[in-house]
Amino acid sequence: MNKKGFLALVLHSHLPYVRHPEDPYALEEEWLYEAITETYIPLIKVFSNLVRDGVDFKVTLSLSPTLISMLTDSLLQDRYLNHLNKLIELSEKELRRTKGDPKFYRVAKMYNEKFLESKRLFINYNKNLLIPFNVLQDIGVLEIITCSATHGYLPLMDRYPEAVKAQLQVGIKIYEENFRRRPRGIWLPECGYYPGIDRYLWDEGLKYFFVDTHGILNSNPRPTYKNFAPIYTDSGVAAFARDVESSKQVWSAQEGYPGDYNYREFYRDIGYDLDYEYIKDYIHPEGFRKQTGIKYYKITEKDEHKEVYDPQKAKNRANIHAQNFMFNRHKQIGYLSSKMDRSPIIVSPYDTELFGHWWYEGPIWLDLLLRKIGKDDKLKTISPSDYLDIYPINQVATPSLSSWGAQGYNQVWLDSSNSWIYPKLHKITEQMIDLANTWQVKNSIELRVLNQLAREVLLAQSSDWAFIIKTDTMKEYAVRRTKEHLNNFNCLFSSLKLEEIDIDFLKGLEKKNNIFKNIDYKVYQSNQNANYKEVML
Amino acid sequence: MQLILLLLAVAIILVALLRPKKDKDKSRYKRNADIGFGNMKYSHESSEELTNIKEKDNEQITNTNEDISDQELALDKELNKDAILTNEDDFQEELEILKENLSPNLEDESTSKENNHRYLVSSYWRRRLKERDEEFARIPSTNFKIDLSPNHESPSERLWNSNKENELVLMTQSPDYIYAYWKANGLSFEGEKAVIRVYKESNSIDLQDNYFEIEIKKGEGEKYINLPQPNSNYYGELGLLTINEIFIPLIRSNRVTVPRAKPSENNNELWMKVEDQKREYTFYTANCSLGDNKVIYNFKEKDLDKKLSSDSFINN
Repeated sequence: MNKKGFLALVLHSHLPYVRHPEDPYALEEEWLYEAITETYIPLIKVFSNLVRDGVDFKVTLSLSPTLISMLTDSLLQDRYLNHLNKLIELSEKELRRTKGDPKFYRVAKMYNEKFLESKRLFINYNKNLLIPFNVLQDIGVLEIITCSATHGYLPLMDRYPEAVKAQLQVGIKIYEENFRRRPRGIWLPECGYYPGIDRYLWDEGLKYFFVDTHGILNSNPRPTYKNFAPIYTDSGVAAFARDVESSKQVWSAQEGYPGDYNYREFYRDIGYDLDYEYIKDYIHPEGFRKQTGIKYYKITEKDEHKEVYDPQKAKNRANIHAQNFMFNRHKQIGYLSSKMDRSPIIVSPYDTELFGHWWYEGPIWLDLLLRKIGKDDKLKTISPSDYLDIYPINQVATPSLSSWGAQGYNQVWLDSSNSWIYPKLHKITEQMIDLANTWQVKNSIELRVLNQLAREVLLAQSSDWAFIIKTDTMKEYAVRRTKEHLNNFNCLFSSLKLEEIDIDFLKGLEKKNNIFKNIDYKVYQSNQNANYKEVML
Repeated sequence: MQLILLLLAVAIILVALLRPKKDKDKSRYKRNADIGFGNMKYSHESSEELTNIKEKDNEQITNTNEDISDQELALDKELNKDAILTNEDDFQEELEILKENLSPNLEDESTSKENNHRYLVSSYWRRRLKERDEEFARIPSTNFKIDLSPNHESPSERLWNSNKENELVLMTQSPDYIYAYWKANGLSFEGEKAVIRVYKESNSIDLQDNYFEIEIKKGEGEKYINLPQPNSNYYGELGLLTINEIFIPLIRSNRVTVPRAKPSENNNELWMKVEDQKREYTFYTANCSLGDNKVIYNFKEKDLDKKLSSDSFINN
């Protein structure tokens, strides 16, 4: 009996498209900057070091098209560098401030060194993080997969196959432009699957996608290997299921690793803690406080009492947690292997931004875990496509509609707080499809309007807006963005119909919402459309 | 003569055979519609021609075949000429003018609340009411399956007329709930209930679709609807339910699939091999005994240190 098993670590990286050329201090742009400093650069460093040390590992990484577009945008790249310079300046100021207190000084030193290292690497990568990601994929340690264009939540788009296909095709196009190959797999936003979408995935040449555990366990027919081997949908695309046990260990607020006593506390930031006069140049110019990224405390207890962060102690805990993760996977694989006639695959997907941003020690944990697995003879990391190469025969079943959101279905993206979005989204989607099917383009300006209309539909469809409205954090921003894209669409649409195109308005939108530079609005055509024209993707 | 009849019969059979096959659902609706109403262009009329007309109650209807007044038919014609009546004020005005042409006794009857009531009905319905009263009386019997396509305009027409008069959209929220939003401009009712009739599609074309009704109130435009059963397809119709329990649909929704909430009972195994984007079904026997046991091996945080001190893996 084969006692080996596989672990597919899947990191899903996504941020909504946030780019405000009109506002150099837009707070929401800092989501990207924080993620670059705390997550993406640290992870690139982890993977690079593992390669340097000859560790045998494989990680699956999805990069959403909105994130790719932001990482390659020159305005945001320059702004990030300014942001980082400011952070380095603040960390130097902190070194002077904490000089007399060794505990705090040690932490200040850690930040200062990390920021300087980030700057060195960022410039080294020519300000484009896709360069190292590309290299890591070429070496063979990363399998980079795609995602839908703006992270639109597809189960709530099922009425409009054209809209689903547009999300997929535009996303894949961005992938190809940046990675010079077709993606082998896709991360369906929020693990949102509905029966039927697999047909479109197959048509795009995608080999696999992921669903949450219950999506596979409730598939029809019942899956023989449960969620420890993929199933094929009848269209031939493989569905891999998230493993509950390993997910919970890393995610769960109660039982998960990130809540450890010694780990860094996310919410105590000097942007809020220090005197206004001291910090005013590093918070928002209008005077309201914000996170800076410099945080001195450990989680400690749940009350107000906080102890000073100790990087070495935190690293020790990360090592123990990496061992614990290994131990539990060994147990799991031992049991599964005794019941299965093939090596089981344990699929552990996480939001990439959990590592480093929310869970500061996440990259260290991942580094230590991959080193341990690299030396292990029972457990091996694998990508889904490598697993399919080993096991090309799989059971055929249809997963049930599901997501990895709270309660497991569409409840997060469709509830009383955000349902008002959908009638409006449906209307512009229908109009976009009708335009793509019937509009006879008379000149290049009209063509630009149509392409911008497609961009606005895609941007309005981001699942992030419904999610943020539901969770009620930064809600005003999500409402504003939704209304802004709907309004942009409606204005452009009216101007097109009335043949009164405001060229300045169009230019303004093209400059501001400049995502998907090479989009072709005909991606919204229906297949049975009599005026069908080939879209060059 | 016999030859002509024979040729006619052959022609009819040929036409029937050559008719394009519709999908399962459509043919089902079509067939049911045929039983009830013959080949009528119902979808168009029922969603466009809404008129507020006084009508007799059901008991009287069954005895009114001979009493159809010419004025009523004239009224039908008048109304058929008109485009969709969306503005209620315009509509009332129109109605007042038309009322003046009605015979006094009908006016009297219709205003008498003891014997009559008012409801919203298409002029098509009115004709059917008079001509095929028996069929009508069977509504809402299971014969009532008609094609109420929500989109009857072509894409280019829709582009120029982007505000839909009537629509009912269903969205899946969970195995237990669907979300419905709707627009029903021109829907005016007094003695009747506006309802959404939610149909659960049966699994067999020989069975009728079961339904339940949700009452909606004026001014409402959305609702979460609790479903009787997960793992099914649902669709809905928004319309009026008269005092006599006659359902008059205004618009039909899209169809939604609601997921299952527990594992399937189906244990049939089918296996496929996929290589180089080529797929083929194949024979395969899996030797697996995972069963339904749920095994969770995670050690909780509090047990972790204890475990670590006793297990050898700490030194790995």
